[in-house]
Amino acid sequence: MDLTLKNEADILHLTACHACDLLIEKQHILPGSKAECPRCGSTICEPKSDTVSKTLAVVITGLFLWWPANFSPILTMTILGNTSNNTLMGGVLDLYRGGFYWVSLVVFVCSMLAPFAKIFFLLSVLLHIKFNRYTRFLPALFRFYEYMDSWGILEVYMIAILVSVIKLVDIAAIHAGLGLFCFIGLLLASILATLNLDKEQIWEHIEQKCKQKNS
Amino acid sequence: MQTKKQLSAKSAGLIQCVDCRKLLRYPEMESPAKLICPRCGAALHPRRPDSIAKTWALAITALICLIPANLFPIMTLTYKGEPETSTIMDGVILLVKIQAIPIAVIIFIASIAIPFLKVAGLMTLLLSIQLKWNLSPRQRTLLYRVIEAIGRWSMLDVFTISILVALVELGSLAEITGGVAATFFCLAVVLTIFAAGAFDSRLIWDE
Repeated sequence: MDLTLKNEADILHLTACHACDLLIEKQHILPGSKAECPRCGSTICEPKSDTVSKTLAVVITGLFLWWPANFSPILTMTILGNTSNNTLMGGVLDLYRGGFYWVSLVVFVCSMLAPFAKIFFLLSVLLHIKFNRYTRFLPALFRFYEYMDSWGILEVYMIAILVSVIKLVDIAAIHAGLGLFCFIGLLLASILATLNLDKEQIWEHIEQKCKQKNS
Repeated sequence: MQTKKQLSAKSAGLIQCVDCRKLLRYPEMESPAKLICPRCGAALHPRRPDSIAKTWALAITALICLIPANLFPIMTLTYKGEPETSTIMDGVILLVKIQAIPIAVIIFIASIAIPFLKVAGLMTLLLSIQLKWNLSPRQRTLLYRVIEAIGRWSMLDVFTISILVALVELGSLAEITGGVAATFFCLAVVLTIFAAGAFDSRLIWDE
C-alpha cells in the first residue's frame, strides 16, 4: 500500500524529532547551520551544500586508500635485530589462528568490512544520483550504508595504534609503515564523508528518482 | 492539556520512519506489523517493538559478560622466555608505572568505566520509564545520546590486542597472545552497542 500519496499535502510542512517524536514545522535552514529540537535538543536537520559532489570526491579517495590501509604494514617493530610488522588483516588472522574466533570476527567487521561496505554503498548511491540512474535497490543501498555507519569505527583503531606504540616503545624500536599513512588518509576520508553527507537531501533525491520511475 | 507545541507525531496519528526519518500518516485500519516505509522500504512502527524488553535483555547479558571480562587475563606477554598474563586493570597499572598517565586514563575510561557506566545508564533510563521517575526528560535524552556516542570507544582494548598479537610475534624473544577475557570483553561491548540501538528514546517523552 502507498502511504504517501493519500494525505501527503497536509503533512508536507511538518517533520518530527527522531529522538523525542515532537511534531515540528519544517523551517528553511541555510547550509552550514543546523536546527535543533526545541524540546529535547537533538539535531533535526543539518543541510550541506554540494553534498553529492563533495562526498563523492572523498569517498573515491577512500576507495583507493582502503586496500593499502588494510594490507600494507602499519607498524614495524625491531627487538635485538629481529623484525616483525602488522597489518589490519594480519591482526584479524592472528586472532583467528589463536582461537579467538568471535574477537577476530568483530575486529574484521569493525576495522575492515564496515569501512569498505560504507564506501561501497555510499559510492553506489552517489553515482546513481550523480548520473541520474535508478535501480529498485537504491533505497536499500542507502539503508545498508546507515546500518554500517555505526560499526565502522576507524577512529578508535587509530587510538589503538597509538596505545600499542606507547606500550611497546620501551622494549622495541617502532617504525611507521606505508599502511599507517594510508590508514590515516582513509580515516580522514571517512570523517570528511560523514561531515559532508546530507542524509535528508540524499533521501529526497532517491524519492524523486522512485517517483520519476513510477510515473 | 497538551499545547500544539508539545504534540508528538504518534499522538497526532503520524508515524516517523526510523531509517529515513520520513513523516507519514498512520493508517487506522492496517495492522502495524505490516507497514513499510514507501521511501526507504524499512518496516514502520510507531515505537520500536518490544524496545524495553530487548534493551533489558541485552544490557543484563552485557553486565554478566563484563564480570569475566574484568577478572580473567586479557592477554599474555612472553618477553625473553617469561610469560606474564595481565587483566585489563593490570594493563592500566602497568601504564601508570611507566609514567604514561594520559594513556592509562584513556584505557581506564574506555575499557573499565564506559562499559559499566553504559549498562548503568541504560538501566537508569529503562527504570525511569517503567517506574515513571520524575527526572528531566531533556537530561535523560542527553544521557542516551552520550551513551550512544561513547559506546564505540570501548572497542579500544580489543583493537589494541589485535594489533599487538600481530606485531609482537618474535617467538621466545617476545610474543603476545590473547586471553580468555578478550572474548567476554568483546561480547560485552557488542551487546552494549546493540542494547543502545534497541532502546527507543522517544519512550522517554511518552506520557
